Amino acid sequence: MNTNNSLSLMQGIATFSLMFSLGLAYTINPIEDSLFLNALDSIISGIYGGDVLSKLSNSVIAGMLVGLFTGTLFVFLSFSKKVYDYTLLFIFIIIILIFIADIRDFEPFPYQFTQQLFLWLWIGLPISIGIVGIWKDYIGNQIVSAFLVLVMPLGLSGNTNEQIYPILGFVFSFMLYIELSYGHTRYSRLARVMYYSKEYETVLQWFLTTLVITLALTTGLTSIAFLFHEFLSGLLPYSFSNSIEFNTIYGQALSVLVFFMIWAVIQTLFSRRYLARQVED
Amino acid sequence: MWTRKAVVYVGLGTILVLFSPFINNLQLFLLGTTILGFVAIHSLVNTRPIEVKITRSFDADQVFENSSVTIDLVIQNKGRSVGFLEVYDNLPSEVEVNNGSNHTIIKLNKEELVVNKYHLDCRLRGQFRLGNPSLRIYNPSFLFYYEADIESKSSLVVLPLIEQIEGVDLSTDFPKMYQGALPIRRIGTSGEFYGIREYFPGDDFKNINWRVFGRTRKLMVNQFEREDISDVMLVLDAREISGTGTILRNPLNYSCRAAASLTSFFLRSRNRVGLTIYGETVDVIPPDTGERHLYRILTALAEVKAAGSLGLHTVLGDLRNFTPRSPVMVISTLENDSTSTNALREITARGFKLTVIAPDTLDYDRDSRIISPTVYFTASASLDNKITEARSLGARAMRWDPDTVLSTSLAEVVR
Repeated sequence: MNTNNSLSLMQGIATFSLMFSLGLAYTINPIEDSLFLNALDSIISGIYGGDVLSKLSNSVIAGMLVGLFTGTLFVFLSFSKKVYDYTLLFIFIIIILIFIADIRDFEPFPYQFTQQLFLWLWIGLPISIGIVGIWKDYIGNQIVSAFLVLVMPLGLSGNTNEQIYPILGFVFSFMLYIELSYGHTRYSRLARVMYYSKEYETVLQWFLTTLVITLALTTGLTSIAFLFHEFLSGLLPYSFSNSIEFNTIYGQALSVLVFFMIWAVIQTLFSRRYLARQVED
Repeated sequence: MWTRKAVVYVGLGTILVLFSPFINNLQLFLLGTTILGFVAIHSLVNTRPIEVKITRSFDADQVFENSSVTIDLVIQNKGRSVGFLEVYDNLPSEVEVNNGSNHTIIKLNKEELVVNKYHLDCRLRGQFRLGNPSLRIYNPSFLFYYEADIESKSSLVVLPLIEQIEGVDLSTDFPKMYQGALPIRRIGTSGEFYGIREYFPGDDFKNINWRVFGRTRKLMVNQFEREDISDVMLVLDAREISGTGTILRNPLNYSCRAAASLTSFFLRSRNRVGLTIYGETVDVIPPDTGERHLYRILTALAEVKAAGSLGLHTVLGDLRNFTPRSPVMVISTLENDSTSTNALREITARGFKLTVIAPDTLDYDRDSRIISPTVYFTASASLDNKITEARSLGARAMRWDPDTVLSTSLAEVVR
């Protein structure tokens, strides 16, 4: 496999991971309970004085497909600056014309159509932004997209231990998206500098292999961090380990932080020759 | 060291772990824990110290301007295997990489040896120091890095370009004759044939080339080399002002080229050549002969830097020890030197056969907008005045446009 193929593979997997992570996020948090969508619904209801969003389809799959389409379209358009500029101008004019038509009480097509399109665009926004980030190597887009994937589906229901598999799937695909999209940005930049190098491909292969291995090891370490909570409950006095606080997610959070603090201390002690010394410098 | 990404990851992971209990969100909690775990695992990948030896070798440590040097950067791993090793060879800004790169990223297995080959374009004379190669190790996800410099300094000498000078008689009418003198290739009366020329009344009949006469019906006489030896002193202006212009095109660089070409020319014809450089100090290389002496002068010329403001008169003291009536060649624009007129007068008064070569980069400076048309006009007029002054003292003086061949310009002034 040559460098370009490896880099394209990274982009492809990152795109699928992004879609998986958003899909799983909505599986874990039903879209009806999404705080973000509810806030949007309240704003629109306030403006129009009626219930608008609930009358529309809030299909996550449709939203993701629209996001995929717009993101891909943007990437293709940006290959030619002229085409890109004209398309943006065209879209802008269409939007302005719709507004003018609305003001003049002329309805070129049913308003439900534009509203539906807007809602799906909204749902698919993290994907369209993320695809541009992945394929155009914009780190800003990658960060915004990751933030939206985390925040947009967030609700107050769901998220129980019964959904552990979708949650694990989400975490894995989310990490894969972040790592591969950022990794692609960095490694493709270096590939441009290393165009003459025959050894660079081995570095890339090493990155991909290590990423898979470290993600597997991270899963193991995360499990150990959770088991540490059980271990800690055995060590702590009964009154503490049996308390309500300790046996809820608060207790787990504290155990996890204690685990990583101990990890940091041990690593600092054992790696004084290199990592710790570097930090102190 | 931690990268910004690692700091963001740890911050985000901690925030997610601490914040998720407030909304009772297992998804964010697990994500935060995974991010922290990911950083923890990565702190063990490709962050341990490495033992890498780097050596640099050239195909030549001394090259002439406008030639290229091949550099082999040998990277040898003596320790653990390294996944991402970035090597950057620190080069001086005066040289340019034209093939390959001084920057490479490699994966090094245990005891593996990799050679990074690249070519340098040496367009500017000088003695350059190639610094220590820099190393950077990243872990695969760019969370931690380690930087170090490996001790491997070397120097590269770029000698001024030598232009072949042919058929220009620049030496003295008063050769220095002494026992054991080596013959030089000049028109004279020895047995070595030099060329033919038209017959003039007074020429010896025995020198007439009858074969040519038979062919052309024109009287032509044979010319022979004269066996003599002379000392030639080159005086080079290295004042700060001589460095005016671009890094490549400035009077000092061209002066060095002219001095190198003249040195090579005179030494080839078995003269003794000395060099006096004035600027910040006065450095004198006494006249001598031979290949070794040529390289001594070329190395001195490679190291010359534009500095100081000593006038031409400062070299007069050293010229006192120089053989009388020998050729002295001043390579200078004589710009902003109030002592130059007196100094030139004294040099000619002592009987030295003076030649002044003024490298003229004013046209280029004006075209490149380094100087304004007004400055160009003033500087050009001043240079013309200096040349006229030198000629009035009996010196052979010329404005040398470095874009023209030195021999051609010299031939015009020597005529």
